[in-house]
Amino acid sequence: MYNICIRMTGNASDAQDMLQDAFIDAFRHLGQLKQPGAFGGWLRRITINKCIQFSKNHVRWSSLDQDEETPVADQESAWWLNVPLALVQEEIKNLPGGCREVFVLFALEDFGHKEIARDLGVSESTSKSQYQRARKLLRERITKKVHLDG
Amino acid sequence: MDKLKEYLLSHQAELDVDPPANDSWENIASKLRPGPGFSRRVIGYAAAACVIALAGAGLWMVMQGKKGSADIAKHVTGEAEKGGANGVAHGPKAEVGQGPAKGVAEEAAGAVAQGPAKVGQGPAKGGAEEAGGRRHKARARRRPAERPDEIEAIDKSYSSLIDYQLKKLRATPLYAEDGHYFSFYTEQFKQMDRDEQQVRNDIKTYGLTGEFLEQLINVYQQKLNVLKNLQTEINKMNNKVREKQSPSGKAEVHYLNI
Repeated sequence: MYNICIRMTGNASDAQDMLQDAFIDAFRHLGQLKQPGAFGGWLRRITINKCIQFSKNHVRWSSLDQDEETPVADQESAWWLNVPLALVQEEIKNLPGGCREVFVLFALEDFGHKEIARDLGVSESTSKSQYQRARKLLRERITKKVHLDG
Repeated sequence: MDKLKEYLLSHQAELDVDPPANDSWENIASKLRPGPGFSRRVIGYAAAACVIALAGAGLWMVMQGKKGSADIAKHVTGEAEKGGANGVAHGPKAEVGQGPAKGVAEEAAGAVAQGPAKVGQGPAKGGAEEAGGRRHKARARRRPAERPDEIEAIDKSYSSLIDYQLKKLRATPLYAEDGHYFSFYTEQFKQMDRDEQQVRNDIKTYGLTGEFLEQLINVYQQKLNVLKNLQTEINKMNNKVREKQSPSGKAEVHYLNI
């Protein structure tokens, strides 16, 4: 749960706050959980909702972002295959606000762009363009680091 | 599906490399624990709720009291007028000058002055209507009997008082009038008997509730008041007759059948 929070917020302090809020909310509304076996998923959803709420209040979406939609997904090679996942995690956290949340929700939480757009209060095309932007930045930054570190 | 997404989803667990702070659980636990502020707040809310409830109850009682007094005044005035008509109609021996009309008027004045505590003390019909209304309310809140012996204790104490008063009345000679002259009182008493029986039936059916108990006590009190008023009225008339009568004269004596 903490890793979801830190990927969504980008920093440890906010992530810690989100985690606490999510757990407190979950325990206070534990009576609403109908199937005890679903506790993990239920808590995960609460945590993500907390992070989405946080992002809605803190991210400023620029209008220029919407023009950055370039379909790179199908063109690029699988550059990530030999990259340590800890480095991927680190670079996800370092992504700029906006594209970071969209990337996490789409690539790691399996949200659709429609859902992301609705939850974050942006258009679907903004969600798509932010995702492409995040991918591009990740590739550039990770490739650069891998090259530097050899 | 996007290949990067697919790859990341399948290796998600390996991405989770950041550990949370050591005091995370402590912080969560401390926030979940209700602190002193919480209990103070709860006590504050409880106190406020009590004050509001008391104020509401007081207001309701005041409103009920006003309504009750107005009803009694209205009702008793009507009965006093009726009683006056009866006094004239029964008037062959009206030279005594203290017929039931005056008696009812006095009773009416007394009932109004005594206020809402004696609701239903007035004439039989009004009492029955009010008792009926209360019974409907009680039926709406059906509760099982909690203290079945309580009714018995109340019964005994009131019944002995009423029996004593009845015996006294039956033994009192009527010099000025026969028993029919006081039919207003006897009818009232009979109606109260019927009311009492109705309340008892309700108690049997729905159990003894606070409301039924109050109704029963009210009926007993009304009965006692009627008997007391009747006794006062008879005494007054007897005194008048004794004052007017010559020492050698013999008055016809009747006894009340109640």
